[in-house]
Amino acid sequence: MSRHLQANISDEQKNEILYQMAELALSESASLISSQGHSKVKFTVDSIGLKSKQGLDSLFNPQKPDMLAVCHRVDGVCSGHIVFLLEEQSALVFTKEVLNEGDQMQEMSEMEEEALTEIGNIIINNFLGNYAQILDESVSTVIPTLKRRHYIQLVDELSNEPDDKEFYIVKFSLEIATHSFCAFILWFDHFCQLGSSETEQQKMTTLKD
Amino acid sequence: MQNMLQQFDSLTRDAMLFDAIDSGLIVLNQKGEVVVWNKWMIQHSFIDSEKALKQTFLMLFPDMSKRLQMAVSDALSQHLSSIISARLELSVLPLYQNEESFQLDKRIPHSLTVTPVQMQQQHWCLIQVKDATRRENMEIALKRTVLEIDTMVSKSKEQEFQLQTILNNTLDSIVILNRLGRISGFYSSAQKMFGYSEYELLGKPLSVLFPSPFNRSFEMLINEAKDDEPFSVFEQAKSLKSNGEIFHSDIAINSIFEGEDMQFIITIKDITERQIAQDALYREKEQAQVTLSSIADGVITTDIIGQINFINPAALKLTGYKHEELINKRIDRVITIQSDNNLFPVFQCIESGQQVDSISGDVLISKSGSQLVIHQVASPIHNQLGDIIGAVMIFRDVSKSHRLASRLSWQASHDELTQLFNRREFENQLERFIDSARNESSQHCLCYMDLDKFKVVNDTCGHAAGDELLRQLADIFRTKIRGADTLSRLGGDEFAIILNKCGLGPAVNIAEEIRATIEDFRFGWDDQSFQVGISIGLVLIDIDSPDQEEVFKAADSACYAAKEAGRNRVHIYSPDDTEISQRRGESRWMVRIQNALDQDRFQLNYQPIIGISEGSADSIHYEILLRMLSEDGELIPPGAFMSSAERYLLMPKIDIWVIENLFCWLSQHGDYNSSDIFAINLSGQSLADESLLYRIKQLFNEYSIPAKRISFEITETAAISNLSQAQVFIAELKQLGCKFALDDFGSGLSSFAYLKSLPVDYLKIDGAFVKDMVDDPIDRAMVESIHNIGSVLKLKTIAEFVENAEILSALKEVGVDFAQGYGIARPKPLPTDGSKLF
Repeated sequence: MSRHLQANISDEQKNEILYQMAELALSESASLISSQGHSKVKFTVDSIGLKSKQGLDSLFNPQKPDMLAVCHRVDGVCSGHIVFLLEEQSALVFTKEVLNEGDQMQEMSEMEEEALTEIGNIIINNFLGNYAQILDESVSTVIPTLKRRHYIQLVDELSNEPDDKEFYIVKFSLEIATHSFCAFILWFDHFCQLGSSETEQQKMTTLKD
Repeated sequence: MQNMLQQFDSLTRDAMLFDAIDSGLIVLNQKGEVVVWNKWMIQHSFIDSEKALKQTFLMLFPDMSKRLQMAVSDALSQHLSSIISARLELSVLPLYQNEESFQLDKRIPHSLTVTPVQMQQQHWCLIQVKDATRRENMEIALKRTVLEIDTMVSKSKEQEFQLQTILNNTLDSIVILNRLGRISGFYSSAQKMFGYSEYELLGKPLSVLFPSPFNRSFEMLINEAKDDEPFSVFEQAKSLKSNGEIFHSDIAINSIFEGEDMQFIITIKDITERQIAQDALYREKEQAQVTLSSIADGVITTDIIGQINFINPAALKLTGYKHEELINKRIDRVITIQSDNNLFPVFQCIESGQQVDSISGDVLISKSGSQLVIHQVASPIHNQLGDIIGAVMIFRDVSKSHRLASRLSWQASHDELTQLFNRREFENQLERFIDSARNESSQHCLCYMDLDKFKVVNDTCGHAAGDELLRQLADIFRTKIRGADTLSRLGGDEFAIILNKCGLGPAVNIAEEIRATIEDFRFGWDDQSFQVGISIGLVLIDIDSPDQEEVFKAADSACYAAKEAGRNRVHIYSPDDTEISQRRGESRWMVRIQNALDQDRFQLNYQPIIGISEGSADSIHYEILLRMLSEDGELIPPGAFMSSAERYLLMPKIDIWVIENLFCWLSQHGDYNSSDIFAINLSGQSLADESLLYRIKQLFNEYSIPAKRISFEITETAAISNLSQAQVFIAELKQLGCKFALDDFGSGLSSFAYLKSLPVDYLKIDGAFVKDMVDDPIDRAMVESIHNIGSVLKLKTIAEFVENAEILSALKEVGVDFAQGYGIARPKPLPTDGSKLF
């Protein structure tokens, strides 16, 4: 398809692009983390789509609402927040497996939290890096931070949009050793608007081609 | 210049700031070259700034990890920040704590942040390095502590679980009380024992579990327990179940401290079974004690070294000692027993592990020196493991029965009148001498002696005179023989001497001396003087002698020959004597008896046997007695011919003659309405004669005699000698309705066991015991004993030789059923004139 095709792309097309970007980013991240950690990890994209705050209960488990989130503030053209998060207990088990920590502690130490932050950083950086490269957008991030929040609270904190405003969410599975977890990438603010400008639309069309 | 100074000042200030930071600071320009390398980096990388600056970061660290490369690249090209943790990839850069670490290449753990920065409108990159050593150490310490705590908690949980398991599964009940004495813990074992659940009892007082007064006692103890002093009590008490059942229990109460709080653990053990066992044991012990104290046998127990540890009253009485004189003393040092055994039976049984039964005849010497004949049995005592721990000796005084046995034994072998050996013993002795002659090639002589003119004295002066004469002659014979010789009275006026190790020559001399002495002897009675003589037959016993019967026959023949030759002489046996005897048909008595049978020269006499006990008072029996009539019509008592009749196997003929003639008399004179019973004597030879049995049955039929009116008397000796035939004989005639009596009972020395195998109806107590029972307690004891045996076996007892009213009275006291003797009625001939018998 040429550049000069219709600039408007649908949400489905956006999803498709994001899906591929996510797959690529997660695949690269898995390789890097596997080489650095003690166990082989595998990330598989399950779904990608738009969600609003109201739809969070259907996405997450209200019985286990406490999440650990590696938060990246994105500056530049694409500003906003992009977050890698998963349930706190899953994060504990996942991190200890990656680090091959055999202890029975039910909380992560500071250094383990730092490692999880790095893992999130690797994933997000790959994601953003691919995005910036493909769409020729400039992004910059600051050093990520680790937050421990209820998912609704987290969304409230990171999203500047009204409650009914949607945000992109990538749901993917983490597999390590005999464990399998559900993890998410939430992208607030900018990416929702992805494709709203003509330039972006063109780029996305090109991508699609 | 000022600009340069300003710039220099700014740079210096920046450098001072960078060096002040306690972490590594690296700034890379757009090209990746190091533009800032702070003091921390110098100190920990051992790369000075001169070397570091102007180098690219990659050149400085050619072995840099891919992650760091990416992070730097992301920061410079894509302005992405990165964090590289100290844990995910260890020691990204070669940084060291000190020189020593550097030498050993022991890197410090560190984390990095890589941040894009805008500098001079270029994209630079700031790398901050943080030493993670302290954090790591703290983490290790924390994890170690957590592990230790986990281990402790785990162990504690395990211990608690184990304790809980123990408390819930112990057979004893565990109850916890708080300081106030209220139940605060009630484990499964207690729940099972008492039948309560835990929640039912929590907070409850002890009275729920223990009835009064035990609960009050425990509560008082608990209340009085001091907080700072350990408390421990052990008691037996009664406990109370939920269903009201009370049981015996062992109770232990101990204080425990949980923190500063004092609590009490009560352990309850149900001892019901133990109590039952103890009670049973006590009862058994009591029973044993009472039994041992009551029995007449002496019982002494010892330990394994023979030390006495128990004596019963009977043993004290028999030994004559006091308890303290025997207890804990060695048995062989305090008790004296004369025995053929060298070793005390107690030691013998301990050594062998078997029961030791002493031969009767051991003599216990009591403290006073009196001698008791005892029968003793020693048995080992074992413990539960089977080890011998001592012995028990049981003994009884058998002096009386020993004396009795000796007396019976003497009576069985001696003639009561003359105190000489009787016929039976003579035959035994003769057998021994014949064996001795064969085995030792020795010689003995048998003198068969028959008095001459004895009948004159008997007939003239009576039996008493005849008996006295025999006694005096016996005394004379005793003076003529040596100690090793055997002197016997064979019966009637016949005597025999076996001269030990004596040839014919000396035997003739002795016999001749006897003859001469008798010839010179004068017997005085009732102012009359009588001269008697003696005919003696001599036979040599040597290696060639035949059996005892033949030797006896030979002596008898020799004596007969002496008689034939004119009496008052000694005749040495020669084969001709037997021939003569045989030519004359048989020996004299055999001929006489046979003739008497043929000529019916026997006379039936009767002697009443009256009932003297309650159940027998209406009964009268009559014993049939036989007299022989000589050719001259003189009465010959059975003692004179019976032994010969037996010797020449004529008893069956005599017995059948008696039966047939009695039946004939009964058929002619007997009262068929009468219930009187006639008792007929049967010999042992008759018992063994099957044809006789058949003949007797025939006679019952021929004369139509009711069998129930006839009783047969057989001697104890005859019955035992022919036991199986006797059993058949008795069974056959009892089937007809006859009764049987065992005659002369008590003198035969046979076991009472045989008595059970003979289906008799009466026991005739040997007259030898009856006639002296008033004066001799042993004889009375024998009569009582025989009567008791008879009673147990449901036999009636008949006492013979009842010579006077005193004896009769004594018999009535004993309970004997019937009495017979001169004191009741003398024997008389059966009447033929129809007169009443009694």
